[in-house]
Amino acid sequence: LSVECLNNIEYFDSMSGILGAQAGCILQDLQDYTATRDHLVPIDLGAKGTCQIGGNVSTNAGGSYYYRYGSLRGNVLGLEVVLANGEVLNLGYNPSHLKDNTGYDLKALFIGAEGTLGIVTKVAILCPRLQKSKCAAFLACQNFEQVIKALEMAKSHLGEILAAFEFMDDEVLGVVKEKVPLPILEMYPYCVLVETHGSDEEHDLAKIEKYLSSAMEEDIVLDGVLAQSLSQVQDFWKVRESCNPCVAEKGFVYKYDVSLPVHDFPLFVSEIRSNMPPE
Amino acid sequence: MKILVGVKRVVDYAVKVRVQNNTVDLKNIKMSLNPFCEIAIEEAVRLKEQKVADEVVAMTIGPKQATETLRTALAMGADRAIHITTDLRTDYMELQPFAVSQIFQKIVEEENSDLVLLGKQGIDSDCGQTGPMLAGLLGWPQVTFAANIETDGKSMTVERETDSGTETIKISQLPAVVTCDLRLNEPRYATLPNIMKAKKKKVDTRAAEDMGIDLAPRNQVLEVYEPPPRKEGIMVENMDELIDKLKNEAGVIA
Repeated sequence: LSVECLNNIEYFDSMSGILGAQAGCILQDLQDYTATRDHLVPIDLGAKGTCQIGGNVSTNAGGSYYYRYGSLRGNVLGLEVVLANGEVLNLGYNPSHLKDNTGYDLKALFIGAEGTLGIVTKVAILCPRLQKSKCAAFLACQNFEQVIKALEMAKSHLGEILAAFEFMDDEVLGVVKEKVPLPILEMYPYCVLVETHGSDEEHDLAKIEKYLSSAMEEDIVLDGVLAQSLSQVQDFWKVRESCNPCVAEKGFVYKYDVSLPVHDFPLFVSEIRSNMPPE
Repeated sequence: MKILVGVKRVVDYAVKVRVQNNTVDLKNIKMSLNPFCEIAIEEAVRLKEQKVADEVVAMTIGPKQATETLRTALAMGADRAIHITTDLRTDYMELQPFAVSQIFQKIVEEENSDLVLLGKQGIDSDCGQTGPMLAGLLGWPQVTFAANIETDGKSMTVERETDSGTETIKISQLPAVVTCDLRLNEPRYATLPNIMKAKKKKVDTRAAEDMGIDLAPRNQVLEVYEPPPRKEGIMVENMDELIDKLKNEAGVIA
């Protein structure tokens, strides 16, 4: 079943930031639409050029801005769904309110239900204001403990402007390097892409510089580059978003989205590696 | 060899500008180092790394915030910087190339530069005039749209982009003015250690208004408007319909 023909944007209220769109709208199109209205769709995925918002909702997609803007469970304010018996339910889609603490949250059942309870046909999503200042740094760490420390430092130094923190290891970057130039020429065991969103560039850069100099002084970050333009920010994301396709091109990929407590990541990876044949 | 590099603070390349009140709306817009100036700085730093140049000085003309542009140039490897301050708009609306080239001329003469590297044009004004005007004022040889530069510090061979191919020009004796084009090099990123080092590098500040140069615009901007939106394309059913449309509607085939 494809809902690609249901691709109209139905409404946008700039006061509340609520965007009402049909399920077949492509995420990138919604981002472009809201950007011209000073807002932003709170999820961002590598697949944004092709994925549809209804599918994002049905799979409870996460994305790179999860830390800053939260999950779809928080941002989806309303849905229109069609049940298996043909009944159409308007679950807070029209009208849609910023705050509705009445009754059972039926729409929440459909977020992540992957179509098992009904087909999502319309989505009312809360869009935060688009921040004027976007900065990014691409950092290098020696091990995962440093990556965790870099994250903790980012939370304390960058605070409310931290928008994304994505780490990649040298195995993946070694594959990406064949297709996409890396911002850092030397290979380090881990790299991290940090992005900030804020309303004041001078203020954000001051915070970022304090964060980076502290992180380097304490040897948490060994090297890194700071984007000097939005094109460079996009270059950093190109590296991050190329991880999946470049690895897939190498051969056959089993992809599992596994959520773990952060401290368990390296143990999980080493266990998997030790159970795989050496090639 | 002392190199002076002009670096301009412009609207970031990735930003979609809006027109308001018959001018480009610069409020709350992300500004960055002009991409062609970035290429110029990269080339100058490479010449220093090759030991052909011994000093790279970055210069900008702009408001207080233009120091960020100089910091980028210093982080990429420039040795020191000159900030000519002005609150005049530098996107052609107020400060225009003739005044800009006179400011550069004064600094070049004071600095005794051997080579001036500029971006081929600012992506805001798209003029491409400062390089040639400066060369004219100084009476120096000039090459624009450089795609490759070879020099030993005394003479220089430049490959230059033209619409019909590459032109190779030899400058038998420096000093000269060269403007840089896209293919010249791939600029480096500003690394954290270099950003820290850049903080300690010298930036000299001077007001444009105090330089004894007439900064008034020579040309008046009459109107600024956005290009008309692209018309949507149509799908045709078959080859006959395509040929019919090309012939009778678009008029591009006989």
